[in-house]
Amino acid sequence: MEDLIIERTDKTPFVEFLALDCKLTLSGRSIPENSIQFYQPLLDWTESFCAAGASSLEIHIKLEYFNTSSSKCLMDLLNRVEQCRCKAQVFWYYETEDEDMLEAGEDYSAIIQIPFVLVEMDGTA
Amino acid sequence: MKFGSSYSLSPQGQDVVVLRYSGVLEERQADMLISWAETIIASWGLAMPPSKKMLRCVIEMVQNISKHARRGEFIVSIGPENRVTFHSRNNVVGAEAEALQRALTLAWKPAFQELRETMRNQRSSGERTKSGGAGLGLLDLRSCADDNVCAECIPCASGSWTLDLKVWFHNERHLWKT
Repeated sequence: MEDLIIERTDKTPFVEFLALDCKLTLSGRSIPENSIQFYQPLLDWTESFCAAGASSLEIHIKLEYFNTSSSKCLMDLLNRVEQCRCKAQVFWYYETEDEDMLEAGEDYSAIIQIPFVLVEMDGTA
Repeated sequence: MKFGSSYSLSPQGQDVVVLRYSGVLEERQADMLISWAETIIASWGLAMPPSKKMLRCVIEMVQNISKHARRGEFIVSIGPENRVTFHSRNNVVGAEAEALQRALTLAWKPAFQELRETMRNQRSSGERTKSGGAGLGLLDLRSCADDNVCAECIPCASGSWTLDLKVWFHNERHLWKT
């Protein structure tokens, strides 16, 4: 299975889906007007990854901003992973002062039945 | 929260407009406005939570116009004691007006204390809007601005409506670094 790499733009995050490493990384901003269009390849990739019988998946989410439309797409993505039989884990990163991003991570972890690790990052680092 | 009441942008004529745009507001203009607003907010030297909350509001308000109306008005102003107001206005026509009225009613249904749970439920099981939105925009504005949101759907003579949306931030909670 091929990796999925999407370069970061001003409005969309860097996406790195590494099949062999069983690792998905999302970082940057996610504020596209058409978030469904942006996230569709990720959903398709996840579907294929799960269908291929993956045993595990590590998801690293390091978002600076996301609009409400993207928040729904993130939920769709995590839902797909939840339905997959692989052993998944989400690492949700937030900057020390960023209470909203921490709350968002807590909210997703309350809904999605996948282990979440909330990772605090020192913004000055 | 103020819904259906009148909250003037310049109640005492003391607000200073720092950014005003009116006209075609499609994706290109939306990107530019968001970028300008971000630069302005960054120049105020705010602590992270309020500055991010403000930019989130700008993104939702501007993208709402570009997605639904493609033409409108967006204003950033500062009033007494550093009160910051974001103000957007756009026309709404036909079936969108009815959908908007429903959305406004739903957005003000939960009490402020229930917003987080409401948003969580909407994110996990709520349906997308016809335009592909998450149905979370107004709830997010309320959440970001501590309920300092005023939304009015004003009937116009031509049979269309105007959505007038104001979101404001006070300096009460030490938003500004000293």
